[in-house]
Amino acid sequence: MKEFKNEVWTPSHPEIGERVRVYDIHGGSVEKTYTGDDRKNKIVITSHAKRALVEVGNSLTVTAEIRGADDNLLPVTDSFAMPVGRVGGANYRTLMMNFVDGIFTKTTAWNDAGEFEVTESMINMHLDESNKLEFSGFNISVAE
Amino acid sequence: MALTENVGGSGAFKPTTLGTSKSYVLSASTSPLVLAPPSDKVIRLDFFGLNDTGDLGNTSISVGVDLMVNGILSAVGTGAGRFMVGRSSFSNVSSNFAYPASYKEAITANEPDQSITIETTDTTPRTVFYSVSYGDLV
Repeated sequence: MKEFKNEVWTPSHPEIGERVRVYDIHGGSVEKTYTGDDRKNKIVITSHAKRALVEVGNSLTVTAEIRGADDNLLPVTDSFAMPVGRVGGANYRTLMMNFVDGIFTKTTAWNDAGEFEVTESMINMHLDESNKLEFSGFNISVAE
Repeated sequence: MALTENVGGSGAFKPTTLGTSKSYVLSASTSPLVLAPPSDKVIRLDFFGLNDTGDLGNTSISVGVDLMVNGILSAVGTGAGRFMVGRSSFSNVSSNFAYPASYKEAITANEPDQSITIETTDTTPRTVFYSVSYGDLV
């Protein structure tokens, strides 16, 4: 029987209708019929790795994609408000993310120095549980 | 300190991990749902039920091979054989907890590593909600 443990399927991803065992973080498990519910779509930053660096007053262009759990690009054309926070502080600004066929490109000026971040919980702040997305986080350093 | 509760005939259950609510679309075709504890721990089914006015017929809960309850999973109605495990938050506009489905207390396994199996023969899928805790018999 295929198992889902530590966010990974072994030995391979199941087909819908297959019996599977899903472990929780405590080591307990649920044996059930796989219905595809455990897989989340995700947002992947494609222009940068974990962090971008920009000088004060300059602009930064970030591209991202919305992908399925199997990493395929999802042709989503929609807009989302994405909160950006100051590290260790409150919400700094909120940017509109306009996805066209699953791809988002945004050029934004950064006029305040500091460390800023976008986290998975910020991405999902206003989404229903069933629509929540995976996101590995993104940091923006604005240097003087 | 964790609350230690007496369980009929089998001593007391001391939870070490309290569960969070989970859901599953249960029907004959997705049955059974088998809940198992971490190694060397005892599992307790704190809540199992529906969150609306539907029902799931011929639904049973077993601990190991022992059948604990078999009936119509339901939050509403006065007919015989309707049950839920634990308390439902279900209410209606005229009176909270107006529906007298039979509420069964939490079901605790008899020994470590024993699993709890939930089965139904109802072919109409219903979203069931459940919560488990893990712990030790003391």
